[in-house]
Amino acid sequence: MFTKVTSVFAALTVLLFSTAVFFTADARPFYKGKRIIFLGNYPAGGANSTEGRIFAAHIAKHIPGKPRIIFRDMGGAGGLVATNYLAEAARPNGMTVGFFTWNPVAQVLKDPGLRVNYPDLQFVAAAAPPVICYIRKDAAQGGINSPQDFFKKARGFKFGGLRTTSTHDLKGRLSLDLLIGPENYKTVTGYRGFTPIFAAIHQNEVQYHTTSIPGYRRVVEPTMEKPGLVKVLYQYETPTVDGRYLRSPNLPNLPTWLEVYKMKNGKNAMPSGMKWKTLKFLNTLNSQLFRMVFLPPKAPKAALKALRTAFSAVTKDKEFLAAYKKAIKAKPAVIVGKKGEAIINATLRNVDPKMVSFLRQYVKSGGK
Amino acid sequence: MLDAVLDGLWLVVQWPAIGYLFLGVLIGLYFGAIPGLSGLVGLAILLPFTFLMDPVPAFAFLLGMFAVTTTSDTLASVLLGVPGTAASQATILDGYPLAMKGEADRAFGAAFTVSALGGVLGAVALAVSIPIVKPLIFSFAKPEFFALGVLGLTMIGSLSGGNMVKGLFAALIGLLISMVGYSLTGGVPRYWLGATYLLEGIPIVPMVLGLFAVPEVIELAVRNTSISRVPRSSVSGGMKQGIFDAFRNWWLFLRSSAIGIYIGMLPGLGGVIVDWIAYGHAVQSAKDKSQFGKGDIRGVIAPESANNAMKGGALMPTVAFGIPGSPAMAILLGAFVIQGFMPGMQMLTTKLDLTFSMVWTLAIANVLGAVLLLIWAKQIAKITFLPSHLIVPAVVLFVMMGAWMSSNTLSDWWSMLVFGVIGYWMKQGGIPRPPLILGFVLGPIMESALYVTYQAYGPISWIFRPICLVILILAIVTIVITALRGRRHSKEGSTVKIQETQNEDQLAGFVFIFLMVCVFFWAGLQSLGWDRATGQFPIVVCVPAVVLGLLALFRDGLGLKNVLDTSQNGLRTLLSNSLFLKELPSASLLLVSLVCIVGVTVLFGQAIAIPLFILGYLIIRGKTTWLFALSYAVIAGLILYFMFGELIGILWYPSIFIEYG
Repeated sequence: MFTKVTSVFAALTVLLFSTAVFFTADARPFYKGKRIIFLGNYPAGGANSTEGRIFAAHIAKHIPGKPRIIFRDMGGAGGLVATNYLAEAARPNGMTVGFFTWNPVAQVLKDPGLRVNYPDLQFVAAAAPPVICYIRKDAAQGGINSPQDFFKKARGFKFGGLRTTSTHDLKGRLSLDLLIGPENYKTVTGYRGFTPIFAAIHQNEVQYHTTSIPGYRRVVEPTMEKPGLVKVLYQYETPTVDGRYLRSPNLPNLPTWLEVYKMKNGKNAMPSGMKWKTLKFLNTLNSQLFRMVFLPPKAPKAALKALRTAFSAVTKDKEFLAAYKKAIKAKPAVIVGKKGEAIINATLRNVDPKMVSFLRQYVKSGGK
Repeated sequence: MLDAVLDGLWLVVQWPAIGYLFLGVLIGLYFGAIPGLSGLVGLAILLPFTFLMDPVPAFAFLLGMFAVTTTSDTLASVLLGVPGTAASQATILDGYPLAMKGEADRAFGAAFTVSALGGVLGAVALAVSIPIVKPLIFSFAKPEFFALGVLGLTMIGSLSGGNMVKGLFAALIGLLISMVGYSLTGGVPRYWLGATYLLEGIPIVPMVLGLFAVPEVIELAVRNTSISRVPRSSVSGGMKQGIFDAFRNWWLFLRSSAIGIYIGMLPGLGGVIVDWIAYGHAVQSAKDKSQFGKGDIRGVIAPESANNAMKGGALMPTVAFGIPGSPAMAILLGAFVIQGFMPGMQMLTTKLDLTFSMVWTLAIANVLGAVLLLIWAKQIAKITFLPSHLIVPAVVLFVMMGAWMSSNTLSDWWSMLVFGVIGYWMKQGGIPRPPLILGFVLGPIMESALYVTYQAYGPISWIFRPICLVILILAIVTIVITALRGRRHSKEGSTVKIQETQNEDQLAGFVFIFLMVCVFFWAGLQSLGWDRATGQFPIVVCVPAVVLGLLALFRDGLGLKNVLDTSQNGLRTLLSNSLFLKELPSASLLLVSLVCIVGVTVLFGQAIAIPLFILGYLIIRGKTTWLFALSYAVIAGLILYFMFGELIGILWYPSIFIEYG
C-alpha cells in the first residue's frame, strides 16, 4: 500500500514537474536573451541598408523576448550573394534574418548566380515603395508639362537604364513600348546606379528615368522637380487580386501608368499582349513586394511567428512611423505573412513558359 | 556673407556640436586606421544615431568622422605597406620604403601636415566655389569621363618603374580583372568561373590587400628583419623633417590638393583614383625622379594632400545640387533630407550658415585629426624597429579581418590569398603592381563611359566635344613626353625604379608573363562567343595584351638566353640565382599557415583561428616564451571581440563547432 502511494505520489510529482517545465518552456519567448542579425543584401549606405536599419532599430521591442538586433550589410552579385548565404550557409535557427531587395527576374530567367528559389525561403514580411517616372521638360518642343504632352510630343528622348536584365530597365522599357512605341525613344544602359543617372538627367545626357520614392523625395523632387527641370508623369500601379489597379497611398495625386494609358487610348482601353502581361507580372511582384524579410528554409516556426507578429506591430508604432517618414519621406506599406506568401507562390511558382521565353528575347534585344 | 561665415563657426563651436565633432574625429581616426574600414562604412553605421539629433551636431558628428579617415589611413600604408582605405593606395609606393629606411615618422610628419592643410584647402574651396562650380561639374559627362580615363592610363609611364612594356602589360591585367562579373552592358557574366562571389566583380579591398600586403608579410616573415632595414640609431630627421618637407614642397601640395578637389567634385570618380592621379602627377612633374618608389617624400605628400582635399570637393555637388558623387555622399545627402534640408539654393541662401558650419567642421576636423595623430606619430613609428616576428601576427590579424569585411564571406579570404600569390610573384618577377590597380579602377569607369557615350552621342561626334578634345590632346602630349623622357633617361641610366623593378628575378617574371599571355589568350577566345556589347571591351584589352606579353617574353627571353649562353651550367645557374625559388619554401610555409587560418575558421571561427595562428607563429617562428605568446594571442582575441565584433559588428563565419552571435 505504502509503495503504491509512494509510486502515485512520485508519478504525480513527475507529471506536475514536467507540466511546469513544459509550460515554463512554452511561456519563455523564443527570442528571450538572443541576438538577431538582420542581413542586408546590398552594400552599406544604399537604400536597402538605410531602410533595413530603420526597421532593425524599432522592431526589437515588438518581438517577444526583446532580443538585441544588429544590422549587417553583405553586398555582391546584385544582392544574390547574401540571398545564397541565407539559404545555404546561415544556421536555420532564426537568428539570421534576411532584409533583401529581391530580384525575382533572376529566378524567372534562371540566373546562374541565384542558387535558391525565393518561394523556398520563409517569407516574413515585405515593404514596397512606389516607383515614379519622370522626364526632362525640355525633352520635346514646347515643353512637357503634363502626361498628355508626354505621349503626344515626346519623341527621340533617351531613357537612362542600368542593365538589360534589371527589373528597373525592363519595367521602364515595357511601359514606354506600350504607351508611345519602341520607335520613339532609346534606352541607354550601362549606368552604375541611380546616382549617375540623376547626374545624366541634369546634364541632358538622358531625359527619362524611373525611381522609387526615397530617390524621388531625396533627389528628384528637391533638385529637379521644384526648380522646374523635370515633370513627374506617373507611377506604376499596384495590381490587386480582384483586378483593380491602385495608386500608392503615398502618392494619391499622381496618376498611374494605366490611367495615363487610358488618357491616351480612351477610358475603356486596356493594354494587351505579352508586353502587358509581363509588365503586370513585374508590377504585381514589385509594387507590393520590394524589400523582403526572409528566414532560412528550415528556421523554427516559433521564430517565423514571432517575427511576423513583430512586423505587424511595428507598422503601428508611432516612433517607427516617425523615423521611417523622416528618413524615407513616405509611410511604409508593409505586407506580412500569408498574404505575401500567397503573392510569391502565385507568381513565381508557375511562371508562364511563354512569358519566360518572351522575357529572354526581350532582354536580348536590350536597348535596341 | 561674412555674417554667415561667422555664424557657421559659432554653430560648430557651441556645445554639443563641438563635442560630437570631437567624438566623430576619434571614430573617424579609428575607421581610417583599420584596413578594410572606411568613411563610407563609418557613415552608414553612424547615420541612424543622428536621426534624433539637431542638424548642426548631426553634421559635425558625420563630417567630423568622414573628414579624417583619409588622414589616419596613412598609418597602415606607411607602417605595413597596407592601404588603410582605398584613397591611400598610392601612399604605400613611397611611404612603406620610407618606413623601411627607418623614416616612418618623417613620412607621418609630412603626411599628417599635408592632410590637415589639404583638408582645410578643400573646405575653403567648398566655401568659395559653390556659386560658380555648376558649369564645371555639368560639363563633365560620360565622354569626358572616358577621356579622363585615357589620360589616367597615360600615367602608367610614371608607375612602371622604368619598364613601360611591363607596366602596360600589368595595366591590361588590371583591366581584364575589372571585367570579371556581370558586364555593365548586358546580362552576361564574364570570367566568373561559376562562382557567385565573382558575379559582381572582384572587390577591391581583398585584391589590394593581397597584391600589396601579403607580399610584404611574406617578405617580413621570410627575411625575419624589422620593417626598418636600418637601425634606429642611424636614422636622422624624424617628424620635424617631415613637417618641413611638407612646407618645402608647397607647390606640389597646392597642385595635388587642386587635383583632389576637382576629382572629388566630379560625380562617379572620387576616392579610388584620386591618390593615383596625384601620385602620377608628382612623378611626371618632378625633375629628379630617381628616388620615387624608393622612399621619396614627394610620393607621400602628393596623394595625402589630394585625398583629404577631395572631401571638400565631393561635398560641392552634394550641397549645391543634390548630386551625390559617391556612395558616401549619397548617405550624407540622406542625412540632409532626414534633417529636413533640401540641397540646392536653400543651402546657398537661407541655410548658408549651415553650409558654412559644414565648411568649418571639415576644416576643424582635419586639423584636429592631424594634431592628434602627430602627437602619437613618434611612438607609433617605433613599430618599424620591432623584430618581424612581433609584427607579422598583428599584420596578419588586420589584413585578414580587413579582407573579411568586404563581404563577410570566405571568398574574400580566398580572393586575398590568390592575389597575394600573384602580388608576390609580380614583385619578385619585376612586374610593377601599381599599373594593375590603375587598370582595375579605371576599367569599369572607362567601359561604362564608352558604352553610354556610344549609345547617347554616337560613335564619333563625342570626340569633338571641347573638353574631351583638350583631355585627349593632353593624353597624347603626355605619352609623347613620357616616351621622350624615357629615352633620355635610359641613355643616362637614370630610370625610375619602384620596389619590384629593383631586384628583378627574370626567370620568375618570364614564367609569370607566359602564364598571363595564356590567360589573355583564353579570355580573348571566351569573348568571341559573346554579343558585341559584352565582348567588345575584352577583345580591345586581350589583343594588345597578347602582343605586349609576347614582346616582353621576347625581351626577357633574350636576357635569359644570354645567361644560359654565358655560363657553363646555364640552367642550373639560372635556377640558383632565382631569389623567387630560394624564398619559395619559406614563403609557401606562411601561405600554408594563412590557408590553415581559413581551415580552422571553418571549424571553429575566426576568434579561435587567428589567435591560434598567432600563438603558433610566436612560439615556432618567434621562439618566444609560452606566456608571452599566450598574452599576445589573448590580446588579439580581445581585439577581435571588441574592435571587430562589438564596435563594428561584423558578421562572423558560421563555423561548424562554435556558434558566434
